[in-house]
Amino acid sequence: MTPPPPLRVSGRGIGTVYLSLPIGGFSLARQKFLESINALRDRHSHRELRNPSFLLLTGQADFAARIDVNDFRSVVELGFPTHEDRSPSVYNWVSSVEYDGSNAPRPQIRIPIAQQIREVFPAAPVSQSDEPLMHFIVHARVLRSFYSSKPVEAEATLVQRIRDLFYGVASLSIETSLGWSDLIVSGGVPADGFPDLLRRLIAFNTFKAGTSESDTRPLFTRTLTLFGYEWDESHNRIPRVSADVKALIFVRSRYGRLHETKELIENSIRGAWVHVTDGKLDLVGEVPYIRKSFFLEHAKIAEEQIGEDLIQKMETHLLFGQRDDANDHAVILPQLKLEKCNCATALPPVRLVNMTETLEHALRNVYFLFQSALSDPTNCCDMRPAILACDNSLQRYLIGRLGRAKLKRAQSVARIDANPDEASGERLAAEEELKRHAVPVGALQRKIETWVLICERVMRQRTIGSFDELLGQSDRALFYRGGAQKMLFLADCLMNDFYAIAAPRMLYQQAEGHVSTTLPTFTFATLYDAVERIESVIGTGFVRVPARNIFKLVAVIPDLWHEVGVHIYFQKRLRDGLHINNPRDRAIWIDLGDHFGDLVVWIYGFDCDFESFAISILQSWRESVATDEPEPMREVLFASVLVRLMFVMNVRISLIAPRARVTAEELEGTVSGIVRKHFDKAPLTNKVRQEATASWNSDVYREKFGELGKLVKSIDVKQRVAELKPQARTFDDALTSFEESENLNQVFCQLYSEIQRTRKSVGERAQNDFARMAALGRSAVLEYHRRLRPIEKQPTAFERDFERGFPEFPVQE
Amino acid sequence: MESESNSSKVELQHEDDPLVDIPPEFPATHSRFPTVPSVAFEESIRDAAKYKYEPGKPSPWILELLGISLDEK
Repeated sequence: MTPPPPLRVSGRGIGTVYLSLPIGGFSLARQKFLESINALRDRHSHRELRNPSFLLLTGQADFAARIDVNDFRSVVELGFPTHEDRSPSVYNWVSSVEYDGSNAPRPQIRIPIAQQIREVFPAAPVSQSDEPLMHFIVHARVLRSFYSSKPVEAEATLVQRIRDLFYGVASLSIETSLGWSDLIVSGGVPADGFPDLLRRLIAFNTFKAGTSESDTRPLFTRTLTLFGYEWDESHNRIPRVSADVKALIFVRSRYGRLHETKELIENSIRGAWVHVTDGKLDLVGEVPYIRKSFFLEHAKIAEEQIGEDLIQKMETHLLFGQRDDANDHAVILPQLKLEKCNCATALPPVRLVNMTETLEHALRNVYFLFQSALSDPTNCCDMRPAILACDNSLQRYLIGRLGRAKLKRAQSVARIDANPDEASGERLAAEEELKRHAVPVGALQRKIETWVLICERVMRQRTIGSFDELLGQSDRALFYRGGAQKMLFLADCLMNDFYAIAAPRMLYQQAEGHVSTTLPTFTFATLYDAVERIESVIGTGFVRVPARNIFKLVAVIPDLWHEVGVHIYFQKRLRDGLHINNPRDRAIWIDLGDHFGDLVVWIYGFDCDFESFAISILQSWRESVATDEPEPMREVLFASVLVRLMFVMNVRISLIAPRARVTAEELEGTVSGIVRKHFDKAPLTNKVRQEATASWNSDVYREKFGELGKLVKSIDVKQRVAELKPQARTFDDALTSFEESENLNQVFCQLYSEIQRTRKSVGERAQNDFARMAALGRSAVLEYHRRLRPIEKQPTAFERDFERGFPEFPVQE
Repeated sequence: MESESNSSKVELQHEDDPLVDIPPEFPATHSRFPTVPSVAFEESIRDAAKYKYEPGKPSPWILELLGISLDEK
């Protein structure tokens, strides 16, 4: 078999919003969509928003509006539709990136030569062809085990097979989706090509995959096919399709207008025979075959040009199924391992220990949802990391803490019982202790209540826009107007990987008394949220990401690492000598968490490259500070950033030159030099520098800094840099494969650093790297599909090291 | 730390993570950069009034480690 050409992505993203509209609402929706585009162009002149286009759909959704963007944040910021637009009842945004078809054979269909393949819908506003096209859009989910081996090659082969299937029949766009779908295949055909298109669509649904012709499984776990045509108010673009296919028109009439509606359809659509039905809809119109006038007649009703105020909702489906090819279309790849997943058995039983009845009911409901999701073969493998992280969060962290809190409370009660004399000092002390120990019990129960809410959101965000919801439900889109499941999945996997590398080494000293403990494989669950900056819910593994960041994970990868580092920090406790009831000590503990997180990012993220680490700190800080923050506040916040850089620099120096004695001035001067080099507009005033030096020399952190520094003494920085330097990669718009155990976080780090280098200075705009980020993102998603198999949990190399006690990293006292 | 040994027993008994023990007074969320300076940091820089700031010269070997020169600064 000829290997497929390299799979490349386009340099632009595609945002498509599917709308359910009231009859006659298309014109207003179109106008509002264009207005929102113009408003966004005014706000962000550097954002490109091109080729708005519109399709009138015949099925469940009514309207598809689409825009090309050079930054997916535009889709978030477009803010369409709003409640003020009133008319749409359901919307869902789908973000996707086109696989570049420039290497693909050009289809031989009757489209004017000037019209490029990619300019036909969905890329063109309105086809310039004289002949209107009938359009189709297919959303497809691919069997996860198809990506079990050489996933990029498998994807390229599949894309090529799809191109071959539609070759000569339809113009074609094949996109990779960031939401529920894996592939979105769309295109258009002239009217007389429609019957052939239907046969190809049937063939598409018979695609199978296997190692040989005799060993295959259906390749798509779900497909969703939509038909439509380019829409304008003059009806000049409605295709005159004639085909021997039946159409069913489902209609809900307005209250009391049932028979008038029935007459309208029968009189307006030739050949229609309308039945009154029970169930959710009132009328079903049956059209035995499609005449050339069918879609024009249909459009006039849908746009309420006739039959005013009769219809609430109308959707039309075509019935077809004739195959002209008895053979299934099989994608044969010898390396495939088409095992059935066993996600349904992945969830352990929930331990409802010491719960209130209300909380127990809530937890049982959540676990029912978990199990239901893991039993759905369409989506289970992608949801499994997040669900198991949620489970880990509850059972390993929260219930453990609640159990400990309840034990302490019970011990206090026992102490009271042992001292019946109410006036005795022992009794009074025990009562005081009981008050102290009662607080955490209530607090932890409230945290578990919050856990329930967050889990519900985690689940919603991983099913929004899925097969059952894409066209009929948008009530899950609270923070972003559609699904971004691929990015959530990727963020979960990257953080879990990072934790698997950093946590065993950093936790070892603390955990040596508990060597039988293994670290969880799935710890982090990402959700996009109404937050201004990335933040984690402490002690749970939940990480909240602003919707604008979820599409640009490469650009925020150090922030994700930092939250992983802080999670590890709170696992280590490290609060000896600090009194947590004292706000000052608590603040010290939290501040030290940031210093610890910095160490983790510097060592395991940037491989001890200080300058790259410093740039990430400066850039992230610049983005985190509000633009209207008063200058004095900016200065004091920046002084703390300077101290954080000084701390990592000091650790670096002490690891390389253990006997060096570095003064605060030396540290501050060195770090400030690096800041000046990379951050033109840093608020690096004398006051800031003085405050940083003073803070460093004060007693508030001094001893604790020493303790934190000791944690990394067992790691030879120089050796680490020499041994673990990531393989230098060249990033372009082509999908890329990874080695079996390649550290994807380091690959992301490399692209992150390349992008940072395109800034003139921290805070300045970086070069738009859409294609490289999209190619790496899709490649990494495919790689994690591969790595998540087999389902049976195998201890990672790091977990095995952890079990053995890390002989290669002996503790140095 | 009076009940550390007891808590360890509970941890093992419940097969829970032996390492996590975050007090309830703790803030619910964390982000890489605080939006307001912490109480502890403000206390540490208040020492600035007592501290006589004398800018010192960085040692040349530190700069060498970093691969930058004074000129670049």
